[in-house]
Amino acid sequence: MNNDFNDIFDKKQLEQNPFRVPEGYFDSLNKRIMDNVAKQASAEKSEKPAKAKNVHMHILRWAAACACVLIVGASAVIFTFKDTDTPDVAATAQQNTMTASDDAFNQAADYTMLDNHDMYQMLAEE
Amino acid sequence: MTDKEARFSQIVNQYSEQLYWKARQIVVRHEDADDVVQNAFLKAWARFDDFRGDANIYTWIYRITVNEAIDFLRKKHEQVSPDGEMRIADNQFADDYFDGNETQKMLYEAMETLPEAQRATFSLRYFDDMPYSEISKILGTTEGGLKANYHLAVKKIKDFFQRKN
Repeated sequence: MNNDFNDIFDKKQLEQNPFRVPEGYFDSLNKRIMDNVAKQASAEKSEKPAKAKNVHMHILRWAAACACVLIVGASAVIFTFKDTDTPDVAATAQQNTMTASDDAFNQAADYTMLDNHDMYQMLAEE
Repeated sequence: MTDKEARFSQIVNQYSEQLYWKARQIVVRHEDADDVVQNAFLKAWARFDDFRGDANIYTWIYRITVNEAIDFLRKKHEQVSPDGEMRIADNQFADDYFDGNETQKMLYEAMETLPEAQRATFSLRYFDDMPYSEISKILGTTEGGLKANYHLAVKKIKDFFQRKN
């Protein structure tokens, strides 16, 4: 204890320990501490297998998710390239579309028994 | 009991009383010191595997105890004054386990008005004559900061005594 408060009080007044404890306190303190430690140790032991199981499940779920993505991706690639033997897929697709439109027009013209001249005139008036 | 628990039990038997009194000096009330010392040993147990023996084990648990006392006071203050109001002496001397004289009562009342870390700094420096270099290792603050904190604590306590007288 230093002399910082010599101008306020005599430090001899602080020499006696002002605190006391209940009867037998220190006899039971160590036992209570070790009882808590034992509970903690037991909780740690039962946590370890549960933690390992959780990690295992986490890995399984992640693996399953990756597998799904791979399957979907592979399916998309297979579906996209299913009927294409030539590399010029876009040109072939466009030609197919145009052919389909001409066929539909011809079928419509047949159905209405309009000749081409009448059809074009109708379309021009719209 | 495992080997680890047996070793730890020896440490508890050897140091629990000293650490209780250190905690008591900071937190004052018996029930609070009891909580602090128990929590400190539980924390020491949780970190026991990490203790490499390069420091003295008593110093190691002492550091845990002082910091646990500071945390305890902080949580208690937050519960009582959640909006961070100034600390006031809350008459902890209704505690049945205080037998001090008037000067001691007033000194501990004055300490109650200090912020938690400042209170711990004052306790270690004034009552234990601990060098600032040691306090710095315990509290993890700079020596310069500690010196300023200590002198501020002394001034506040003197002002408290003058107001009371």
